[in-house]
Amino acid sequence: MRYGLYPGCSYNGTAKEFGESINFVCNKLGIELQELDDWICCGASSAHNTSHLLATSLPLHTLISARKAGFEKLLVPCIACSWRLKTAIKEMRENEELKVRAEEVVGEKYDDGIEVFNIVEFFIKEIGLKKIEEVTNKFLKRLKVVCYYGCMLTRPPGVANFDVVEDPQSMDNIMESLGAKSLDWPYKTECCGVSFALSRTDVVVKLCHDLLEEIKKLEADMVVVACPLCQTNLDMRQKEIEKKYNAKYGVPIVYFSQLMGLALGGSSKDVGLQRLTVSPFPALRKRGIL
Amino acid sequence: MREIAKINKTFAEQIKEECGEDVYLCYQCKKCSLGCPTAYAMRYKPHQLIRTIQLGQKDLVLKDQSIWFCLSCQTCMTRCPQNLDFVKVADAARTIGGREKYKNPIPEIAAFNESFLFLVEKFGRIYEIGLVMLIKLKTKQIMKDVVTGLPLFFKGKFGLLPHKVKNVNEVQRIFAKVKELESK
Ligand code: SF4
Ligand code: SF4
Repeated sequence: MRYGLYPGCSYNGTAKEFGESINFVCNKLGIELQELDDWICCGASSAHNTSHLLATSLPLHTLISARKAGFEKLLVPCIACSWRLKTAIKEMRENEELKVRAEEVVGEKYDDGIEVFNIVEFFIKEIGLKKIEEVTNKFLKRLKVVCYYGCMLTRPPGVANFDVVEDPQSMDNIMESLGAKSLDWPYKTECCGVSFALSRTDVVVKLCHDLLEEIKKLEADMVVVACPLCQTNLDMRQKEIEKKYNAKYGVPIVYFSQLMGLALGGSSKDVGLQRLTVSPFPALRKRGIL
Repeated sequence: MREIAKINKTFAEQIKEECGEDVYLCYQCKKCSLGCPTAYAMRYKPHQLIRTIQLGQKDLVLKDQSIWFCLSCQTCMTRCPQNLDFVKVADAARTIGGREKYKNPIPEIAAFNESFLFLVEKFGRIYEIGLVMLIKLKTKQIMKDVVTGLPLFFKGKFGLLPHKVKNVNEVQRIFAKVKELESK
């Protein structure tokens, strides 16, 4: 299977281990990911506040270049990017005038021939739980995890379209097919504060504190995420939050793809575990996984 | 005689032109505000912002911080019984505000957006350390977050230099063309 890959700006930066683990897993599963040549930023956090046309044109540029490279399916691991790309596709379908204007900006026509997958959707739809279970042999036995989807993975309804919007199960199912025990909780799709991390940090600190308090009650080994913004905010800011609220969490925040990579025989380096701020090693050793 | 608020429809119409959403669909059930993660920080909660737009109180919306606290998390629009998309309304209001030279009342968020788009236009991509530095310069908070940033650097997550795409001219052409079409 051959897919286009639109990595997004964090794939080789703050979300490096996300990238490494996805590449590792896909390689093991025989999926060929081919990065789009010379791709440009989708405009994520800021373009939609400034100009609807710009927020549509930047993703359109990517869709057209994916088409030109001969792809029909495009994997977009960053949730903010996949939200922008999927939104552009949907809005251009519903609004011909917008499509014509955006095409004028980019300077080329688009044939609506690209299907965009976010990363969880990709594993569910294109690989399937059965296959995941078969190849990983319930490797994560006894590991207790909490799946945190964040605000954008399943939203908005009609755009993400692959799981129950407010009570998603897909990541939990992936974790269970890897052999882990996935705990239910009510904050699955609450927001972490996303890009406010770089502007109004106080908002992120408050929201992540609320999440961490709830997570603490579950006594899980780690939190599993699929979004670079969720991961960075909960992991990198955890110390700061502990200090501000005089609390103690020490809970590792790992990408689901990192655990998948381990289950497929990867070393901790292969999936970039050493890059996490809160170390997942003690918990993984305790469960006999490393 | 008591003064009655003058209803000025144009702002709601402007919003509709910008994003297609009809704010008059809202019947003030407050579901949006109850699920909103940043309502605690907003003087006017999402349902109140909508009411304010219905009543045409443009300055009240665009001079206040509230609309800028929206994270675009999409909880409100997911739950709205009237299928009103408040995220689109907020984006439209912020876009109109920017176009009509309202000053963004939250300096850090203004700095974030300006820096973000500046980098995309300049290099074709965001490079994170550049984004952090630009925001800090603009808001004069150079030292804040240095401590959180350092471990990332040592874990090999921050590249120091930007990656400039080859077709950066094309990106700049996109930005220019958007400006040209929008000024028409
Ligand atoms: S949820 Fe919808 S109808 Fe209810 S107050 Fe909010 S916008 Fe209005
Ligand atoms: S999208 Fe904005 S207004 Fe709606 S719930 Fe999220 S933060 Fe609140």
